[in-house]
Amino acid sequence: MELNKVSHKTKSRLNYKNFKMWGINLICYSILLCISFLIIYPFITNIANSFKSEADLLDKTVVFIPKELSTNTIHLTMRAMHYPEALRNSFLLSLLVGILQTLSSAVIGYGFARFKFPLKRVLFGLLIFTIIVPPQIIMTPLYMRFKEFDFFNVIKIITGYSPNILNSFIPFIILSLTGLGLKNGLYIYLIRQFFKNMPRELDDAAYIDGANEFTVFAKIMLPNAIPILITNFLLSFSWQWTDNYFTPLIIQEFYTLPLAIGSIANYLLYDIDPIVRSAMMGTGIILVILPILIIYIFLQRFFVQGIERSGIVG
Amino acid sequence: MELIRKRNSRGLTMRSKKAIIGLIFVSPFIFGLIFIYFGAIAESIAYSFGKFDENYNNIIIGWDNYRRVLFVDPDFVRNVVESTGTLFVNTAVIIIYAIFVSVLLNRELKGKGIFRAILFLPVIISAGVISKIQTGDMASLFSQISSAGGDVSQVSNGLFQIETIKKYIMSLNIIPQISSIVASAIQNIYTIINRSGVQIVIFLAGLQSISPSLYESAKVEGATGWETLWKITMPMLSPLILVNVVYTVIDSFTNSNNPVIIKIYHYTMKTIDYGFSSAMAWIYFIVIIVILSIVLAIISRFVYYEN
Repeated sequence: MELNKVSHKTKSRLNYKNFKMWGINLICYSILLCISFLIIYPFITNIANSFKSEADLLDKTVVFIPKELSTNTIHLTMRAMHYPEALRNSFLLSLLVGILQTLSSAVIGYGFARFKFPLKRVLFGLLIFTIIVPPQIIMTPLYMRFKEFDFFNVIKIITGYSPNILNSFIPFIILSLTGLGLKNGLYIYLIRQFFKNMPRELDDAAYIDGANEFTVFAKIMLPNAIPILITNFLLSFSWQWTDNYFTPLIIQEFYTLPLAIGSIANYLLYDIDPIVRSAMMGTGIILVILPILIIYIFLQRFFVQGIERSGIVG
Repeated sequence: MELIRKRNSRGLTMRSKKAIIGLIFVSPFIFGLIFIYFGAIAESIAYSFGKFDENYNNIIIGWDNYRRVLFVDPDFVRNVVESTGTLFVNTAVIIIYAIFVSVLLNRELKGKGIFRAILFLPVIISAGVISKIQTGDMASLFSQISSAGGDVSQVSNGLFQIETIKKYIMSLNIIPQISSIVASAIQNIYTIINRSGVQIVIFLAGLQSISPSLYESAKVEGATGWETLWKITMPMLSPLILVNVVYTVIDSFTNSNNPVIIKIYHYTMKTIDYGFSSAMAWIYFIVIIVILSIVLAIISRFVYYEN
């Protein structure tokens, strides 16, 4: 009898608890749904707009689903953007920058995380300095440097002149390899945090087995760091992809996607209806975003994993 | 100790060998600093004290550029003060929003993978040209690229009709101060969502690293969820709050939508007044450093370190 009563009591408490959990989950879901909706909404409208004909764009009763499917806007936008060319250039550039920045950040971050060497604090301070300094400060001097590129006149002595390396990928290669590229300090910082939290026993065991530091790095550390390296690659790839600040400074003679969006603006000056114009801008954004969106969908599993395992603490 | 001091074949102690290898790993960065970065910084300082003659040689003219920025230019000081003001509000909102969302995402929910994928999306796409268009700031983009004036600012790209919502709230006739705050918050929704991606990522990583045994023992002791949040989650997250505040401050100061940055860019690329723009950039940098150190000094008093 007594036992029965108790079990009844726990049962009702369990029910109450279940109910409470259910309510909390419901609230969580609704909040997350709202935020997700806010994030996705611009994509939906822009994609919908890009499939509308001019009549549908002007028609206020057409919200999302167009009355007649038309790819006219997309064609027009692609022509204005020189899309295939811009896409190819952007892809090559971002791939190059992404891979190089990830590699250099891994190497430099590992050095900062696992070794003691003289001036380490000063160098780390300088790394933070490169993050804080607005890129605008060094923009002009960098431009000048790449216009007549040289290391302390060495190239001039050998070839007789300082080459102009603007409008090529070389400046990006140099900046990415030395960890000075766009937001590169941040990547080094993140990777350093990751390597700092790797257990020491791992490399000690390898050292006892006679491995040297470079094999430990290549054979033990890098394979373990793959999720965070992919995260890093994804970040640097997509931030390079959408950069409209540094890239147009160095590359002016051929199209990359951010420049191509600008060329829509130029194209639009010729008598096109304002509403079609804005639809074209929207289509342009979608065309720029689409490739990184596809890459993100494939890599996002690693992205989430890399974040979970990065164990960033302070 | 004997073991450590034991010399290896190259005649180096273990410690100095490690130091050299460490330096080899960091060497690309050192190389970049010496050959590119220091030179660029020095040149930029030289520009800020000088003026170009016809042959693009920099002639040192002293403090004139700085004087012009601070006392002659009508907009600079006002822009800096304004962007600092919005910075404080936005940072607070972004941090609170990011903690909130990351706590939500850290719960055991079905389909949280999809939500995570969507909520991390702004990290990938919010930078650069896209954020500029998404936040409806097309006018500046147009004028920056094509210098086309006119009515382009009225062409919105069909996001929420933010202006309409704002007008609606203003017309509700509640207390005007409150409704204006709400209206500006609504106007900033996209800014906040787009700028808080990295912060959510960092908080989530921090939440994952809090050991579950802490929560279990709190549960055994009878702590409620609310108590656990304030007594365990927040203290354990506090170092990351510091990191995130620093990141947010730097990000909003150096973001290419910042009015000061736009101004610097304009003077560099359009008017080609390098001396003036460099002086502006350096003054701005000093402002950033001062504000960062104030923020650091205040927040680091509340930070709890486990070790």
